Amino acid sequence: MRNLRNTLKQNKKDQFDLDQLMESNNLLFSELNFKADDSDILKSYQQINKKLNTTNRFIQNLRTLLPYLNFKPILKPAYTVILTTILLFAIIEYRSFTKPVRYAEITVDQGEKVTLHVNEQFTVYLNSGSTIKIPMHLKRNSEIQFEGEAYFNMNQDKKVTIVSNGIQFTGKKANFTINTNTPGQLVANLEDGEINLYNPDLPPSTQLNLQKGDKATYNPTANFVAVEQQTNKNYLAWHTGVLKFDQTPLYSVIEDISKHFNIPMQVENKKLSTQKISAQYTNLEIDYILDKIQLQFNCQISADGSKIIIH
Amino acid sequence: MQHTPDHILIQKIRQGNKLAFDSLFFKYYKPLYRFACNFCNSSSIAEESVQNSFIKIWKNSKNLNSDDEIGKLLFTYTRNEIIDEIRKINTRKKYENAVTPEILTNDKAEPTDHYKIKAILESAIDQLPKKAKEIFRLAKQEGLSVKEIAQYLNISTKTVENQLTIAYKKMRVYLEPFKDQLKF
Repeated sequence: MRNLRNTLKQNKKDQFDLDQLMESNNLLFSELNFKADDSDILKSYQQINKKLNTTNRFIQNLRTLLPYLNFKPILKPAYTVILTTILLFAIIEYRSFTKPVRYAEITVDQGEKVTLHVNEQFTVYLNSGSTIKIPMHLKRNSEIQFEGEAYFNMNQDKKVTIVSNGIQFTGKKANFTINTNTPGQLVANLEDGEINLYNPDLPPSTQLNLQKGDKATYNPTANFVAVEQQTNKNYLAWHTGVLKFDQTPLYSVIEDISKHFNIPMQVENKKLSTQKISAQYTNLEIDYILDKIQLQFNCQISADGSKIIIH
Repeated sequence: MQHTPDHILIQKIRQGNKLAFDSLFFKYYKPLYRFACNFCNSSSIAEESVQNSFIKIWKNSKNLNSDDEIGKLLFTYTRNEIIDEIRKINTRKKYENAVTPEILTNDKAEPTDHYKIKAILESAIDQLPKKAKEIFRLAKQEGLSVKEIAQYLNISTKTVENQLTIAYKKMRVYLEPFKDQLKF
Protein backbone atom coordinates (compact mmCIF):
# COMPACT_ATOMS: atom_id res chain seq x y z
CA MET A 1 0.00 0.00 0.00
CA ARG A 2 2.83 2.28 0.95
CA ASN A 3 4.60 1.40 -2.33
CA LEU A 4 1.53 2.29 -4.38
CA ARG A 5 1.19 5.58 -2.52
CA ASN A 6 4.85 6.34 -3.24
CA THR A 7 4.41 5.50 -6.93
CA LEU A 8 1.40 7.78 -7.20
CA LYS A 9 3.33 10.51 -5.38
CA GLN A 10 6.23 10.07 -7.73
CA ASN A 11 3.81 10.09 -10.71
CA LYS A 12 2.24 13.25 -9.44
CA LYS A 13 5.66 14.87 -9.05
CA ASP A 14 6.74 13.93 -12.61
CA GLN A 15 3.40 14.90 -14.09
CA PHE A 16 3.53 18.24 -12.37
CA ASP A 17 6.90 19.14 -13.86
CA LEU A 18 5.82 18.23 -17.36
CA ASP A 19 2.51 20.04 -17.11
CA GLN A 20 4.26 23.11 -15.77
CA LEU A 21 6.76 22.96 -18.60
CA MET A 22 3.95 22.75 -21.12
CA GLU A 23 2.08 25.59 -19.53
CA SER A 24 5.08 27.89 -19.21
CA ASN A 25 5.78 27.49 -22.92
CA ASN A 26 2.15 27.85 -24.01
CA LEU A 27 2.23 24.31 -25.32
CA LEU A 28 -0.71 21.93 -25.43
CA PHE A 29 -0.42 18.17 -25.62
CA SER A 30 -2.79 18.29 -28.59
CA GLU A 31 -0.10 20.25 -30.49
CA LEU A 32 2.48 17.52 -30.06
CA ASN A 33 3.07 15.04 -32.82
CA PHE A 34 3.02 11.54 -31.38
CA LYS A 35 3.87 9.91 -34.70
CA ALA A 36 7.27 8.25 -34.79
CA ASP A 37 9.74 10.16 -36.94
CA ASP A 38 11.29 8.39 -39.90
CA SER A 39 14.85 9.53 -39.26
CA ASP A 40 17.75 7.12 -39.17
CA ILE A 41 20.26 8.64 -36.80
CA LEU A 42 23.00 6.10 -37.53
CA LYS A 43 22.70 6.59 -41.28
CA SER A 44 22.91 10.35 -40.77
CA TYR A 45 25.90 9.89 -38.51
CA GLN A 46 27.70 7.88 -41.20
CA GLN A 47 26.81 10.43 -43.88
CA ILE A 48 28.04 13.34 -41.81
CA ASN A 49 31.35 11.59 -41.11
CA LYS A 50 31.75 10.86 -44.81
CA LYS A 51 31.16 14.53 -45.66
CA LEU A 52 33.58 15.72 -42.99
CA ASN A 53 36.29 13.32 -44.13
CA THR A 54 36.04 14.21 -47.81
CA THR A 55 36.08 17.96 -47.25
CA ASN A 56 38.76 17.99 -44.61
CA ARG A 57 41.15 15.36 -45.93
CA PHE A 58 42.87 17.59 -48.48
CA ILE A 59 43.18 20.56 -46.11
CA GLN A 60 44.36 18.31 -43.29
CA ASN A 61 46.98 16.74 -45.55
CA LEU A 62 48.11 20.16 -46.68
CA ARG A 63 48.23 21.47 -43.13
CA THR A 64 50.31 18.49 -42.09
CA LEU A 65 52.68 18.90 -45.02
CA LEU A 66 53.15 22.67 -45.03
CA PRO A 67 55.29 23.01 -41.90
CA TYR A 68 57.68 20.36 -43.18
CA LEU A 69 58.12 21.90 -46.61
CA ASN A 70 61.24 24.00 -47.00
CA PHE A 71 60.58 26.54 -49.71
CA LYS A 72 63.92 28.34 -49.56
CA PRO A 73 65.88 26.05 -51.92
CA ILE A 74 63.01 26.15 -54.42
CA LEU A 75 62.51 29.92 -54.42
CA LYS A 76 65.71 30.91 -56.26
CA PRO A 77 65.33 28.46 -59.18
CA ALA A 78 61.61 29.29 -59.35
CA TYR A 79 62.34 33.02 -59.68
CA THR A 80 65.02 32.31 -62.28
CA VAL A 81 62.67 30.12 -64.36
CA ILE A 82 59.85 32.68 -64.21
CA LEU A 83 62.10 35.64 -65.09
CA THR A 84 63.82 33.74 -67.92
CA THR A 85 60.43 32.75 -69.38
CA ILE A 86 59.21 36.37 -69.25
CA LEU A 87 62.46 37.57 -70.85
CA LEU A 88 62.26 34.96 -73.61
CA PHE A 89 58.67 35.90 -74.43
CA ALA A 90 59.64 39.57 -74.52
CA ILE A 91 62.57 38.87 -76.87
CA ILE A 92 60.42 36.73 -79.18
CA GLU A 93 57.73 39.42 -79.30
CA TYR A 94 60.29 42.18 -79.90
CA ARG A 95 62.00 40.24 -82.67
CA SER A 96 58.71 39.49 -84.40
CA PHE A 97 57.95 43.23 -84.42
CA THR A 98 61.36 44.41 -85.55
CA LYS A 99 62.19 41.57 -87.98
CA PRO A 100 62.08 42.79 -91.61
CA VAL A 101 59.10 41.34 -93.43
CA ARG A 102 60.04 38.77 -96.05
CA TYR A 103 57.98 38.84 -99.20
CA ALA A 104 57.16 36.32 -101.90
CA GLU A 105 56.94 38.01 -105.30
CA ILE A 106 54.99 36.61 -108.23
CA THR A 107 54.89 38.05 -111.74
CA VAL A 108 52.44 36.61 -114.22
CA ASP A 109 53.69 36.23 -117.80
CA GLN A 110 51.81 37.80 -120.67
CA GLY A 111 48.88 35.64 -121.77
CA GLU A 112 48.96 33.64 -118.52
CA LYS A 113 46.69 33.64 -115.49
CA VAL A 114 47.60 32.55 -111.99
CA THR A 115 45.45 31.53 -109.06
CA LEU A 116 47.15 32.18 -105.74
CA HIS A 117 45.78 30.54 -102.58
CA VAL A 118 47.24 32.73 -99.84
CA ASN A 119 45.37 30.70 -97.21
CA GLU A 120 42.06 28.86 -96.89
CA GLN A 121 40.10 32.11 -96.68
CA PHE A 122 42.04 34.22 -99.13
CA THR A 123 42.52 33.60 -102.86
CA VAL A 124 43.92 35.98 -105.48
CA TYR A 125 43.22 35.45 -109.21
CA LEU A 126 45.94 37.27 -111.16
CA ASN A 127 45.55 38.35 -114.76
CA SER A 128 48.44 38.40 -117.20
CA GLY A 129 51.24 40.92 -116.60
CA SER A 130 50.38 41.36 -112.92
CA THR A 131 52.87 41.49 -110.07
CA ILE A 132 52.12 40.73 -106.45
CA LYS A 133 54.35 40.87 -103.36
CA ILE A 134 52.93 38.95 -100.39
CA PRO A 135 54.50 38.74 -96.89
CA MET A 136 55.67 35.17 -96.14
CA HIS A 137 53.64 35.28 -92.91
CA LEU A 138 50.43 37.25 -93.00
CA LYS A 139 50.06 39.13 -89.73
CA ARG A 140 48.05 42.05 -88.53
CA ASN A 141 49.03 45.23 -90.40
CA SER A 142 50.93 43.28 -93.06
CA GLU A 143 50.65 44.78 -96.55
CA ILE A 144 50.36 43.14 -99.94
CA GLN A 145 51.90 45.10 -102.81
CA PHE A 146 50.10 44.73 -106.13
CA GLU A 147 50.27 46.04 -109.73
CA GLY A 148 48.21 44.82 -112.69
CA GLU A 149 44.76 43.26 -112.71
CA ALA A 150 43.48 40.81 -110.13
CA TYR A 151 40.36 39.52 -108.47
CA PHE A 152 40.67 39.27 -104.67
CA ASN A 153 38.44 36.78 -102.89
CA MET A 154 38.81 37.15 -99.13
CA ASN A 155 36.75 35.77 -96.26
CA GLN A 156 39.12 36.34 -93.35
CA ASP A 157 38.83 37.21 -89.69
CA LYS A 158 41.94 39.40 -89.78
CA LYS A 159 42.10 42.54 -91.92
CA VAL A 160 44.41 42.52 -94.91
CA THR A 161 45.75 45.62 -96.67
CA ILE A 162 46.55 45.65 -100.36
CA VAL A 163 48.63 48.56 -101.61
CA SER A 164 48.38 49.45 -105.25
CA ASN A 165 49.62 52.68 -106.84
CA GLY A 166 50.05 54.03 -103.32
CA ILE A 167 46.37 53.45 -102.48
CA GLN A 168 45.51 51.17 -99.56
CA PHE A 169 42.58 48.74 -99.82
CA THR A 170 41.74 47.22 -96.42
CA GLY A 171 39.13 44.53 -95.82
CA LYS A 172 38.29 41.20 -94.24
CA LYS A 173 35.37 39.72 -96.11
CA ALA A 174 35.07 41.05 -99.64
CA ASN A 175 35.32 40.13 -103.32
CA PHE A 176 36.79 42.85 -105.52
CA THR A 177 39.00 43.61 -108.48
CA ILE A 178 41.88 46.04 -108.79
CA ASN A 179 43.09 47.12 -112.19
CA THR A 180 46.10 49.37 -112.72
CA ASN A 181 46.62 48.45 -116.39
CA THR A 182 45.18 51.69 -117.77
CA PRO A 183 48.02 54.24 -117.61
CA GLY A 184 47.48 56.98 -115.04
CA GLN A 185 44.43 55.27 -113.59
CA LEU A 186 43.47 52.73 -110.95
CA VAL A 187 40.06 51.09 -111.01
CA ALA A 188 38.57 48.99 -108.23
CA ASN A 189 35.23 47.19 -108.48
CA LEU A 190 33.61 45.79 -105.38
CA GLU A 191 31.54 42.73 -106.22
CA ASP A 192 30.61 41.78 -102.65
CA GLY A 193 31.30 42.81 -99.02
CA GLU A 194 33.00 46.07 -98.13
CA ILE A 195 36.50 47.54 -98.18
CA ASN A 196 38.17 50.73 -97.06
CA LEU A 197 40.05 52.77 -99.57
CA TYR A 198 42.66 55.17 -98.26
CA ASN A 199 45.27 57.40 -99.76
CA PRO A 200 48.08 57.81 -97.15
CA ASP A 201 49.04 61.15 -98.74
CA LEU A 202 45.69 62.57 -97.66
CA PRO A 203 44.24 63.07 -94.16
CA PRO A 204 42.56 59.98 -92.60
CA SER A 205 39.17 61.70 -92.86
CA THR A 206 39.33 61.19 -96.64
CA GLN A 207 39.13 57.43 -96.15
CA LEU A 208 36.35 55.90 -98.28
CA ASN A 209 34.17 52.92 -97.52
CA LEU A 210 33.28 51.02 -100.69
CA GLN A 211 30.05 49.02 -100.70
CA LYS A 212 28.83 46.18 -102.91
CA GLY A 213 28.50 47.32 -106.55
CA ASP A 214 30.78 50.38 -106.17
CA LYS A 215 33.41 51.30 -108.71
CA ALA A 216 36.28 53.50 -107.54
CA THR A 217 38.55 55.25 -110.02
CA TYR A 218 41.72 56.86 -108.75
CA ASN A 219 43.49 59.49 -110.75
CA PRO A 220 47.04 59.95 -109.37
CA THR A 221 47.62 63.18 -111.27
CA ALA A 222 44.63 64.85 -109.67
CA ASN A 223 45.05 62.79 -106.46
CA PHE A 224 41.32 62.19 -106.60
CA VAL A 225 39.10 59.13 -106.16
CA ALA A 226 35.75 59.01 -107.96
CA VAL A 227 33.15 56.51 -106.71
CA GLU A 228 30.16 55.45 -108.82
CA GLN A 229 27.89 52.46 -109.29
CA GLN A 230 29.34 49.85 -111.64
CA THR A 231 26.84 49.03 -114.43
CA ASN A 232 29.12 47.05 -116.72
CA LYS A 233 29.66 43.55 -115.41
CA ASN A 234 32.23 42.69 -118.06
CA TYR A 235 35.09 43.93 -115.90
CA LEU A 236 35.36 40.33 -114.65
CA ALA A 237 35.30 38.74 -118.10
CA TRP A 238 39.02 37.89 -117.98
CA HIS A 239 38.26 35.84 -114.85
CA THR A 240 34.84 34.37 -115.68
CA GLY A 241 35.53 33.87 -119.42
CA VAL A 242 32.16 35.38 -120.35
CA LEU A 243 31.39 38.62 -122.17
CA LYS A 244 27.74 39.52 -121.83
CA PHE A 245 25.80 42.33 -123.50
CA ASP A 246 22.18 43.25 -123.05
CA GLN A 247 20.77 45.82 -125.49
CA THR A 248 24.20 47.46 -125.55
CA PRO A 249 25.17 49.92 -128.35
CA LEU A 250 27.78 48.45 -130.71
CA TYR A 251 30.34 51.16 -129.90
CA SER A 252 30.18 50.14 -126.23
CA VAL A 253 30.48 46.46 -127.15
CA ILE A 254 33.56 47.19 -129.28
CA GLU A 255 35.02 49.22 -126.39
CA ASP A 256 34.69 46.22 -124.01
CA ILE A 257 36.14 43.84 -126.58
CA SER A 258 39.00 46.25 -127.25
CA LYS A 259 39.72 46.48 -123.51
CA HIS A 260 39.46 42.76 -123.03
CA PHE A 261 41.84 41.82 -125.85
CA ASN A 262 43.95 44.98 -125.45
CA ILE A 263 43.62 45.68 -129.20
CA PRO A 264 42.60 49.15 -130.46
CA MET A 265 39.25 48.98 -132.28
CA GLN A 266 37.05 51.58 -133.93
CA VAL A 267 33.54 51.73 -135.46
CA GLU A 268 33.65 54.01 -138.49
CA ASN A 269 30.01 53.58 -139.48
CA LYS A 270 28.27 56.06 -137.16
CA LYS A 271 24.80 54.67 -137.93
CA LEU A 272 25.99 51.20 -137.07
CA SER A 273 27.73 52.28 -133.88
CA THR A 274 24.44 53.15 -132.12
CA GLN A 275 22.72 49.90 -133.02
CA LYS A 276 22.01 47.73 -129.99
CA ILE A 277 23.17 44.19 -129.46
CA SER A 278 22.30 41.40 -126.95
CA ALA A 279 24.76 38.57 -126.86
CA GLN A 280 26.78 36.35 -124.58
CA TYR A 281 30.24 35.20 -125.70
CA THR A 282 31.68 32.28 -123.82
CA ASN A 283 34.28 31.46 -126.47
CA LEU A 284 36.58 34.41 -125.94
CA GLU A 285 38.45 34.32 -129.26
CA ILE A 286 38.59 37.68 -131.05
CA ASP A 287 38.09 36.14 -134.51
CA TYR A 288 35.04 34.25 -133.32
CA ILE A 289 33.45 37.36 -131.78
CA LEU A 290 34.20 39.56 -134.82
CA ASP A 291 32.72 36.90 -137.16
CA LYS A 292 29.52 36.92 -135.07
CA ILE A 293 29.30 40.74 -135.22
CA GLN A 294 29.99 40.74 -138.96
CA LEU A 295 27.21 38.19 -139.52
CA GLN A 296 24.73 40.04 -137.34
CA PHE A 297 25.24 43.53 -138.85
CA ASN A 298 26.40 42.50 -142.33
CA CYS A 299 29.37 44.90 -142.03
CA GLN A 300 32.97 44.90 -143.17
CA ILE A 301 35.85 44.49 -140.72
CA SER A 302 39.39 45.35 -141.63
CA ALA A 303 42.72 46.05 -139.95
CA ASP A 304 45.22 48.76 -140.83
CA GLY A 305 48.13 47.36 -138.82
CA SER A 306 47.53 49.49 -135.74
CA LYS A 307 43.79 48.92 -135.10
CA ILE A 308 40.68 46.98 -136.21
CA ILE A 309 38.10 49.03 -138.09
CA ILE A 310 34.40 48.21 -138.45
CA HIS A 311 32.83 49.80 -141.53
CA MET B 1 23.49 8.33 -16.75
CA GLN B 2 26.22 10.96 -16.95
CA HIS B 3 25.79 13.82 -19.41
CA THR B 4 28.44 16.29 -20.38
CA PRO B 5 27.14 19.85 -20.25
CA ASP B 6 27.11 21.82 -23.48
CA HIS B 7 29.80 24.33 -22.47
CA ILE B 8 32.27 21.50 -21.80
CA LEU B 9 31.35 19.90 -25.13
CA ILE B 10 32.12 23.21 -26.87
CA GLN B 11 35.54 23.41 -25.21
CA LYS B 12 36.39 19.92 -26.34
CA ILE B 13 35.06 20.48 -29.86
CA ARG B 14 37.23 23.60 -30.10
CA GLN B 15 40.23 21.40 -29.36
CA GLY B 16 39.17 19.12 -32.23
CA ASN B 17 37.74 16.37 -30.05
CA LYS B 18 35.65 14.27 -32.38
CA LEU B 19 34.08 12.26 -29.54
CA ALA B 20 32.67 15.47 -28.08
CA PHE B 21 31.26 16.33 -31.50
CA ASP B 22 29.69 12.86 -31.70
CA SER B 23 28.10 13.36 -28.27
CA LEU B 24 26.67 16.66 -29.44
CA PHE B 25 25.34 14.98 -32.58
CA PHE B 26 23.59 12.16 -30.72
CA LYS B 27 22.17 14.59 -28.18
CA TYR B 28 20.70 17.08 -30.62
CA TYR B 29 20.04 15.15 -33.83
CA LYS B 30 16.53 13.95 -32.99
CA PRO B 31 15.17 17.27 -31.63
CA LEU B 32 16.72 19.14 -34.57
CA TYR B 33 15.25 16.68 -37.06
CA ARG B 34 11.81 17.06 -35.43
CA PHE B 35 12.18 20.82 -35.47
CA ALA B 36 13.25 20.78 -39.12
CA CYS B 37 10.37 18.49 -40.12
CA ASN B 38 7.87 20.75 -38.35
CA PHE B 39 9.40 23.70 -40.15
CA CYS B 40 9.57 22.43 -43.72
CA ASN B 41 7.39 19.30 -43.93
CA SER B 42 10.07 17.50 -45.93
CA SER B 43 12.15 14.72 -44.41
CA SER B 44 14.89 14.95 -47.06
CA ILE B 45 15.36 18.71 -46.59
CA ALA B 46 15.21 18.26 -42.82
CA GLU B 47 17.90 15.55 -42.85
CA GLU B 48 20.19 17.54 -45.16
CA SER B 49 19.76 20.76 -43.18
CA VAL B 50 20.50 19.13 -39.83
CA GLN B 51 23.59 17.43 -41.24
CA ASN B 52 24.84 20.69 -42.72
CA SER B 53 24.31 22.48 -39.40
CA PHE B 54 26.53 19.96 -37.62
CA ILE B 55 29.15 20.22 -40.37
CA LYS B 56 29.11 24.00 -39.97
CA ILE B 57 29.68 23.64 -36.22
CA TRP B 58 32.63 21.30 -36.78
CA LYS B 59 34.20 23.44 -39.49
CA ASN B 60 33.86 26.62 -37.43
CA SER B 61 34.78 24.91 -34.18
CA LYS B 62 37.81 27.21 -33.75
CA ASN B 63 35.52 30.23 -33.64
CA LEU B 64 33.14 28.75 -31.11
CA ASN B 65 32.89 30.55 -27.82
CA SER B 66 32.44 28.59 -24.62
CA ASP B 67 29.68 31.05 -23.73
CA ASP B 68 27.82 30.16 -26.92
CA GLU B 69 24.59 28.33 -26.42
CA ILE B 70 25.35 25.50 -28.77
CA GLY B 71 21.76 24.23 -28.73
CA LYS B 72 20.42 27.62 -29.75
CA LEU B 73 23.13 27.89 -32.40
CA LEU B 74 22.21 24.51 -33.86
CA PHE B 75 18.52 25.35 -34.04
CA THR B 76 19.35 28.69 -35.73
CA TYR B 77 21.74 27.05 -38.21
CA THR B 78 19.13 24.39 -39.06
CA ARG B 79 16.46 26.99 -39.62
CA ASN B 80 18.76 29.03 -41.89
CA GLU B 81 19.80 25.95 -43.82
CA ILE B 82 16.14 25.07 -44.43
CA ILE B 83 15.35 28.57 -45.64
CA ASP B 84 18.35 28.49 -48.00
CA GLU B 85 17.38 25.07 -49.32
CA ILE B 86 13.75 26.08 -49.86
CA ARG B 87 14.85 29.25 -51.65
CA LYS B 88 17.03 27.17 -53.98
CA ILE B 89 14.15 24.78 -54.70
CA ASN B 90 11.76 27.66 -55.34
CA THR B 91 14.20 29.33 -57.74
CA ARG B 92 14.75 26.04 -59.57
CA LYS B 93 11.02 25.38 -59.84
CA LYS B 94 10.47 28.92 -61.08
CA TYR B 95 12.95 28.39 -63.92
CA GLU B 96 11.48 24.98 -64.71
CA ASN B 97 8.11 26.70 -64.95
CA ALA B 98 6.59 24.15 -62.64
CA VAL B 99 4.14 24.62 -59.82
CA THR B 100 6.08 25.07 -56.60
CA PRO B 101 5.10 22.50 -53.99
CA GLU B 102 3.65 24.01 -50.89
CA ILE B 103 6.36 24.07 -48.28
CA LEU B 104 5.87 25.77 -45.00
CA THR B 105 8.25 28.69 -45.09
CA ASN B 106 8.38 31.69 -42.93
CA ASP B 107 11.56 33.69 -43.25
CA LYS B 108 10.72 35.84 -40.30
CA ALA B 109 10.00 32.92 -37.95
CA GLU B 110 12.77 32.67 -35.37
CA PRO B 111 13.50 29.32 -33.80
CA THR B 112 11.76 30.48 -30.65
CA ASP B 113 11.66 28.50 -27.42
CA HIS B 114 8.14 27.38 -28.25
CA TYR B 115 9.24 25.50 -31.41
CA LYS B 116 12.44 24.26 -29.84
CA ILE B 117 10.71 22.86 -26.78
CA LYS B 118 8.00 21.32 -28.93
CA ALA B 119 10.67 19.53 -30.97
CA ILE B 120 12.55 18.39 -27.86
CA LEU B 121 9.36 17.06 -26.26
CA GLU B 122 8.33 15.26 -29.43
CA SER B 123 11.72 13.60 -29.64
CA ALA B 124 11.35 12.61 -25.98
CA ILE B 125 7.95 11.06 -26.69
CA ASP B 126 9.37 9.35 -29.74
CA GLN B 127 11.81 7.25 -27.69
CA LEU B 128 9.06 5.84 -25.43
CA PRO B 129 8.14 2.13 -25.72
CA LYS B 130 5.14 1.60 -27.98
CA LYS B 131 2.69 0.67 -25.20
CA ALA B 132 3.77 3.44 -22.84
CA LYS B 133 3.61 5.95 -25.66
CA GLU B 134 0.06 4.97 -26.58
CA ILE B 135 -1.14 5.15 -22.97
CA PHE B 136 0.62 8.49 -22.48
CA ARG B 137 -1.05 9.81 -25.67
CA LEU B 138 -4.52 8.64 -24.53
CA ALA B 139 -3.99 10.27 -21.16
CA LYS B 140 -2.54 13.55 -22.39
CA GLN B 141 -3.86 14.12 -25.85
CA GLU B 142 -7.28 12.41 -25.58
CA GLY B 143 -7.68 13.41 -21.94
CA LEU B 144 -8.84 9.95 -20.79
CA SER B 145 -8.64 8.88 -17.16
CA VAL B 146 -6.70 5.82 -16.01
CA LYS B 147 -9.94 3.86 -15.70
CA GLU B 148 -11.11 4.88 -19.18
CA ILE B 149 -7.76 3.95 -20.71
CA ALA B 150 -7.89 0.55 -18.96
CA GLN B 151 -11.37 -0.07 -20.31
CA TYR B 152 -10.47 1.12 -23.79
CA LEU B 153 -7.34 -1.01 -24.03
CA ASN B 154 -8.89 -3.88 -22.07
CA ILE B 155 -6.09 -3.90 -19.51
CA SER B 156 -5.98 -3.38 -15.76
CA THR B 157 -5.77 0.08 -14.21
CA LYS B 158 -2.57 -1.05 -12.52
CA THR B 159 -0.94 -1.68 -15.93
CA VAL B 160 -2.03 1.76 -17.12
CA GLU B 161 -0.51 3.38 -14.03
CA ASN B 162 2.72 1.41 -14.45
CA GLN B 163 3.03 2.34 -18.10
CA LEU B 164 2.43 6.00 -17.32
CA THR B 165 5.15 5.85 -14.65
CA ILE B 166 7.53 4.31 -17.19
CA ALA B 167 6.64 7.01 -19.72
CA TYR B 168 7.26 9.85 -17.26
CA LYS B 169 10.53 8.37 -16.01
CA LYS B 170 11.88 7.80 -19.50
CA MET B 171 10.90 11.29 -20.52
CA ARG B 172 12.57 12.79 -17.47
CA VAL B 173 15.77 10.89 -18.22
CA TYR B 174 15.67 11.96 -21.85
CA LEU B 175 14.92 15.58 -21.01
CA GLU B 176 17.57 15.86 -18.28
CA PRO B 177 20.41 16.96 -20.65
CA PHE B 178 18.10 19.65 -22.05
CA LYS B 179 17.44 21.04 -18.57
CA ASP B 180 19.04 24.40 -19.37
CA GLN B 181 16.91 24.89 -22.40
CA LEU B 182 13.67 23.61 -20.91
CA LYS B 183 14.04 25.48 -17.62
CA PHE B 184 12.22 23.00 -15.41
